[in-house]
Amino acid sequence: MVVVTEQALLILASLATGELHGYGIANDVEALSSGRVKLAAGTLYGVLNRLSADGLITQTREEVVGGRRRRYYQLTGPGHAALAQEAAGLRSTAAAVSARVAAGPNPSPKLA
Amino acid sequence: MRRRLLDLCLLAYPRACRRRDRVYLRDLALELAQRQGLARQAVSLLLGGVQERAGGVRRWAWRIGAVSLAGLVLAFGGVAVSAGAGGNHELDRFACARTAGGGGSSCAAQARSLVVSRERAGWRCARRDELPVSTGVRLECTQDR
Repeated sequence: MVVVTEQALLILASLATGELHGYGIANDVEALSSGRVKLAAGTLYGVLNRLSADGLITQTREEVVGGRRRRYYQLTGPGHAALAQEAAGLRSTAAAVSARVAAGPNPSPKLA
Repeated sequence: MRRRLLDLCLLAYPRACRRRDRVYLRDLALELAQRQGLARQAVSLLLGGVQERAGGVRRWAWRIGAVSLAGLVLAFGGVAVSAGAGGNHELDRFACARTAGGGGSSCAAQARSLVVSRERAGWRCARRDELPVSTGVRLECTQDR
């Protein structure tokens, strides 16, 4: 059982459409979360390493752009499965919470 | 200047990490610094390095714990197996030899009486040497527990 944090989930989601490099992932995560999650280099590196160790993503290639080294990552099969499972879990939780919100508060019991 | 600052922060990472990923990590921090600021990247690298070192210590502690546990399991397993083997079989050896002053026949007589008493108690006894009885006898008696 792989524990997927919010940061890891957003990184998996950013890689769902294809391979990306670290800087691209950080920008996409910021966009996906409407600017709420901004991944700095140390955090991004740690999460990418953990996801690689868990076999959810894999490093595909490296290239040098403008004198800076970029490393590309892509989702693996288990990564796709983990992302789908997390998305299903979030949908289920959101549905349950929405139902409670729609029902409104219970009337307080009257004292005898 | 920016590179030097980030290189200093990268010293927080274990040597193996730096050797493998220093340039990549610094370049990533430089790119992200354009949007998020250099200070944020520097702090992130410092914290990331400390976490990486802590993770390494945890992994070592876990390995040492696992090896110790495996040693304990092996030790207890060995004790259990030897105890189990001892529980099925019990050996009792009896030997005597003829001395210069004689006594071989009394030795054989003692051995015979020993065998009789042991077999009454449920033991099985057998001779374990090929010497004539007059020069001594060595017996091995066993009993299942």
